[in-house]
Amino acid sequence: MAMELIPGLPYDIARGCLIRVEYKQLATVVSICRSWKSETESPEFRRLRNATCTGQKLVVMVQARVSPDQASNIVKYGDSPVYRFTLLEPDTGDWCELPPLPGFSNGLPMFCQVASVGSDLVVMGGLDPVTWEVSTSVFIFNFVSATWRRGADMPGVRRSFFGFASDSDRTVYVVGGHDGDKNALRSTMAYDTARDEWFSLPDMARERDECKAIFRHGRLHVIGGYCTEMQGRFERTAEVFEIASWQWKNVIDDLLEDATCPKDLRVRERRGVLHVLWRLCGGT
Amino acid sequence: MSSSAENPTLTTEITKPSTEIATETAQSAKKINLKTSDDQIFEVEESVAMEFATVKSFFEDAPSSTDTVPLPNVPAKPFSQVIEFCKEQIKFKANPDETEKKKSNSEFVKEKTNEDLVEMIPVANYLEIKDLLDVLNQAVADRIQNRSVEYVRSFFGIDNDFTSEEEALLREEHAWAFEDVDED
Repeated sequence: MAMELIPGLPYDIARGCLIRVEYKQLATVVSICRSWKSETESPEFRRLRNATCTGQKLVVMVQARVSPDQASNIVKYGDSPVYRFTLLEPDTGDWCELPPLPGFSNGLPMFCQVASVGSDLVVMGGLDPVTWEVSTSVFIFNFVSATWRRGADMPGVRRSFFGFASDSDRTVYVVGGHDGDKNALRSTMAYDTARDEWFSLPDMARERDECKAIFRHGRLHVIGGYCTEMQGRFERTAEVFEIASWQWKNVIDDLLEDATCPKDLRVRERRGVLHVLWRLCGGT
Repeated sequence: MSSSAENPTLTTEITKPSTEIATETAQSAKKINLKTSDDQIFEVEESVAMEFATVKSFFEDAPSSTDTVPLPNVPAKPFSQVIEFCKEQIKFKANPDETEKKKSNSEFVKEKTNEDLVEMIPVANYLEIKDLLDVLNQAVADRIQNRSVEYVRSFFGIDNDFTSEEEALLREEHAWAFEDVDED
């Protein structure tokens, strides 16, 4: 790529300047000229920012909004809190709130799934906070433009309580969960955020409602969950999908010590084998 | 955020002619003559000159050479500032203190105009002074912090090659780039 980013400077030197701008400045950078736009939008630019630690760390959280006039009252039962995204920059200690999802002015869908993919944030599924209808919507927040865009809706059955994991690059995986009739699902699919396309993976060996999905080093680990007959009685098993060979490996028995919801599970992976580090105690 | 160049046109670093550098440093250390693209000869202490990887390898390739080293891509003005930086850096080599070094680096950058910074980058690149290149890259990124699109274009002398339709779309998509920026 023999393009000039800054007149008089070699390409890689000019890029050395651009990778050091703060993420908030990237919206300006893409608006300068064509070569700056294509440079900053390239995956290589993001990779370099990460590799040289010149990017900023951002922590995105889902928090319930407490309205000031309600804060002193006891929260009434039946009132569902309004959830929204908050953003923390650990380096500066700055907090801000992300704009609401388009069409969800009453807060995020309940039980929606969230993952970071590349420099985007992806939000999927959940229940509409007002109608409690299952949402198949996909929303993507871009930190450069600071705007939300709609992705292609989740195909197939109206799926909820599925496992969700990101490869951190461009793909998110949707595994198990249940359909509109509360049938637990074995099916798995993936969404490519860059191409805005869905594709299917082979089915898992078991139905896994409320399972946990974790992506590490080219492997999608799906942990726990339960089949339709076992409503709420969680399994201790896990299974692993290998992206390179495009197939599910053997089911791992007894990965979990106790048969409970794996939602708060933390794991470490060594040579493709998962080790459970810790889990939160108490209700789910 | 107010540390960026308030008045880029006001401060101009005076170029130090070779005689001044010569009197500054006593006759003890070995000197090396470096000739810039605009034919100025800088007499530089060997320890400072060895900070320039390009010059260092010149001597490694031809150890017996005592002639003046030509620096065909290096004009005198930015070069004098680069020498200034390297002299400071050497102090920290003998006595490493990261906090003081950072302070010294930011002092160095603060005094420079936008033009100075942009002129020094190709020099630091040609002479392969990695520390300085890092400092300058960061300084440039800091200088365009919270600035308007128009300011950044004129800072680097970049032409706007978007069509008016594309520009309108960008303003819509990246509204926050066009709001709440510092005055140019």
